Amino acid sequence: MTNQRTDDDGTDTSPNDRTDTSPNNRTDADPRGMVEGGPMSRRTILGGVALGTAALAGCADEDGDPEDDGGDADDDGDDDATGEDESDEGGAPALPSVDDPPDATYIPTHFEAMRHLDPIEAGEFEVEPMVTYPHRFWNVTGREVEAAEPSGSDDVHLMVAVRDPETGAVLPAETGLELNVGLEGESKTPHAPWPMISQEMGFHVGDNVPLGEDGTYEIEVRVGSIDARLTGEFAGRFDEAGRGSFTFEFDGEFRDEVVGGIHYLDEEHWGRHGALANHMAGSHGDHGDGEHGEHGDDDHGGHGDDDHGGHGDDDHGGHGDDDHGGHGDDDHGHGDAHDHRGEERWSVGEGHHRFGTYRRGPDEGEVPLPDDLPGSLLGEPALADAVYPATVLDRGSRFVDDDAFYLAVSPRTPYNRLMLPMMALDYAVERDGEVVAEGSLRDTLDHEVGYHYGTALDELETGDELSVTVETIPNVSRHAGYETAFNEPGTVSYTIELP
Amino acid sequence: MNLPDPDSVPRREFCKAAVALGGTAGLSACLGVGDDRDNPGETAALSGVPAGDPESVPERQHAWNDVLERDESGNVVAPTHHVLRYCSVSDDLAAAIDDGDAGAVDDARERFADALSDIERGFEWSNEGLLFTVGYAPAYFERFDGRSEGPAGVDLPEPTALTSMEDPGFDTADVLVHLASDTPEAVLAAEEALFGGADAANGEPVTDVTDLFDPVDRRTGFLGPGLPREHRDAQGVPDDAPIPEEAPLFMGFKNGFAGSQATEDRVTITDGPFAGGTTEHVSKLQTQLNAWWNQENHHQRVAKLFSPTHAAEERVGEWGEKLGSNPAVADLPEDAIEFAREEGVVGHAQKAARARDEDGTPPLLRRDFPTTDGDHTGLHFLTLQESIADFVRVREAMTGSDLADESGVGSRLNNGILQYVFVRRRGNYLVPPRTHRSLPEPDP
Repeated sequence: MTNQRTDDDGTDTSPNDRTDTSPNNRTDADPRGMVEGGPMSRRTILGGVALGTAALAGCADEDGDPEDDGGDADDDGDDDATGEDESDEGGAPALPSVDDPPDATYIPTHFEAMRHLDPIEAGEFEVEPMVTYPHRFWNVTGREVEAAEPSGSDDVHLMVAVRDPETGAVLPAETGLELNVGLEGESKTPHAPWPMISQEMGFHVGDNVPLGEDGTYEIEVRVGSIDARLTGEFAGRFDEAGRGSFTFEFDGEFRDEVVGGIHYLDEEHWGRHGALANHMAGSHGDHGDGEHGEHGDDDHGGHGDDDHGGHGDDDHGGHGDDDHGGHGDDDHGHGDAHDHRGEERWSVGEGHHRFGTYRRGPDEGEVPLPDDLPGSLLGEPALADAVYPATVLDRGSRFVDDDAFYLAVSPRTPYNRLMLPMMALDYAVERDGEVVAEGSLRDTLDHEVGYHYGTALDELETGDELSVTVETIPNVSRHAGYETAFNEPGTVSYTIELP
Repeated sequence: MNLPDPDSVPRREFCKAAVALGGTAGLSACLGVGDDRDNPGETAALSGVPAGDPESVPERQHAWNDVLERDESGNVVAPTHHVLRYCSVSDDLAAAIDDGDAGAVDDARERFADALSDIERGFEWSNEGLLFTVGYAPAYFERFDGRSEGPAGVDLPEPTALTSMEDPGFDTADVLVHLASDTPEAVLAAEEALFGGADAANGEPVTDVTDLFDPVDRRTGFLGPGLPREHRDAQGVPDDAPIPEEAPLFMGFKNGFAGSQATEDRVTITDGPFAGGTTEHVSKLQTQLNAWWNQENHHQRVAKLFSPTHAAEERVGEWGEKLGSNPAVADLPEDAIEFAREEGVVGHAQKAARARDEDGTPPLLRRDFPTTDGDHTGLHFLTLQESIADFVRVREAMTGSDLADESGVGSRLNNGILQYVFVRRRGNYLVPPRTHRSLPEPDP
């Protein structure tokens, strides 16, 4: 029992009370579950949650989304919450969802709870496993966004995040990633999980997975490679597959933790523009055994009710002081009072149960703040609620082989600054109404710029008009709160200003 | 493995299980007799299984199409039951080859040739009797002195991993025998006569060659409408997957369209001592179809298996019935990268079609079949081609790494069906012409 930590508010069962023999479990739990900890049967737990959901849905008679863009004809203001619950068969709890969410990043109804397992090594990669209850997510096939509902046979939502152990950076390492799942010592069945983005977990891969009976499950992980062009300190790395494995105990206690640990938000926030804090962020640098420390402990100071009572007092108001965690993230000064939509920033809650449109600090995103991008920042236009900072690096930078300029476009989610992989972007440079350069941008992973889409440009002058066109929307799967955002193709424009 | 209760499952399902089980137990079960080594049932004439004539068997071992039936669209109907037997030559035979003991090797060659002719005498060369090929690995030819370059005039490299998404094991067993029939007893009886204890098959005595080979692996499978649906209890597919009754594949569609298959001529080696032969690649694929059936809709499945155009235009039907004999991928845009950037998804058939010959001829003759070996869904992806390079070319097109690099399509995601397929083993074999099918020299 070396490493078990529970991200809860202190009322959960102590580690000593547990029968779990897995040495490496930590649960992001919150005691405001429908079920208190304890040895309850799975059926009881699920029943309890369903009841709780009914109670929540039953009082959903108020529009909790005052900032909805209002463009939806059927947004009559009384159906923001819904009884359209996920299946409660096969281990998937019934959960409320936001009905008719805006076509934007929005606050879902709850924070997920999940069990974090100790990171493992897989060759050159670090793999961070997380397990929770099966739940709905959305897959993107071309232009089609389709809800993936948990089936009756799914038992868990199994996720891994892949990181560079040296920099702590989350890697879009979906190429050839396999999870081979089965009872310890028994035959395994392979899964190629979906690349996904989640407000709470950032980029990871995951899927709803059937297991079967309770027991110790072993997951053999294969991390393949990264499709993106690798530059900077990443150049020449990650070209060999890595393997590792982890185990976890699938039992009533696990289900109790992850289902009971769901942290519901007050309904008035459901569907608002904004995002939940990414609790996987901030682990850059201090990676290793002390990872996640900053959210593992700084948000459990007895404020378990932080966003349930009287939260009206800390949002909308002093958005200037939205850095409860003392991240010092507000020192970017200019324009920080408003977000990319021009709306006033707001924040509710603390620690990793914080949410809103507050400005995330330098270490709280997967890609840098626009101001921290190297080169000459051309602007940060938004399209379909994604933000597209673009920058031009001077001739002869390390991104090019010759004397060319380098253009980097860094699409990201608003607020949490998650990378948006699996897009196709085209560019065109116009001068005096004539196209002088055009082509497609190459997905690229750099230790400094992060995941971006770039190209070398030979000819470029200050005053040139640059347009970047989204040919393929991000075909990365989405957790709740992202499924209605980023889904419109279109074009963003910039005026070149050479560095 | 346990056999199901024959009274509680359809005959065909029971026989599929019996083929998977194999051996005298499988054969006896199939014949409805007890598992009794002394029971003459396993060597006796099988009811309704026609005997054959070695004189009438074609020179190309892979010439099956002429004797197979056609469906109403003109597609070749593949045999239902399949067994792949991987064997090493025995230590004694290996030593004889190594020592250049021509007398011992010639004796072995004659006996194996006799045994194969005996099998042909026992079973008609047809889907009701038995169809089979005997192939040899690069490792086999390396046993012969001075043959590091492999069989004469044939492109037969050692198998390798073909993408960064796989780390397969490699099949290097000397000999691969592929047995196929609609009659499960025929497959099992022939197998028992060649590699087991039986001294006859279908009432015909078979020359004993059991001392020549050591078993390495045995893989089985089946191809027929409804069989996947009947075997949804295996791992890798939801128990309640709505696989259409008519579909021969676990993914819910048919395959083997005449329009996407190479002809036997196209895959036949034309020059050198092995002219009339072909090369054979077998990939052992595991499939995981949980998300395929639970999370994708029909439109998405069609887009990924065929193409987004097929999905949008509803070209396919429920299980491929609208395609007739041609999956009609040839009319799709040639610039697959541009297509991928616009659509965000490319279909499996669409990608493979990129590797066709300049005149549009598909280079591979697929004789693959689904399996539940190890109680897990999969596919024994067996293809015939003139040269292994043909296979590699198609596989590269199918991998679509150019698409993944230059579009929003992922290495697996929205890249055909790669998300659902896991390559576990690969092996390359030469299927010589019938004249040289018995333990050939590298340059006979």
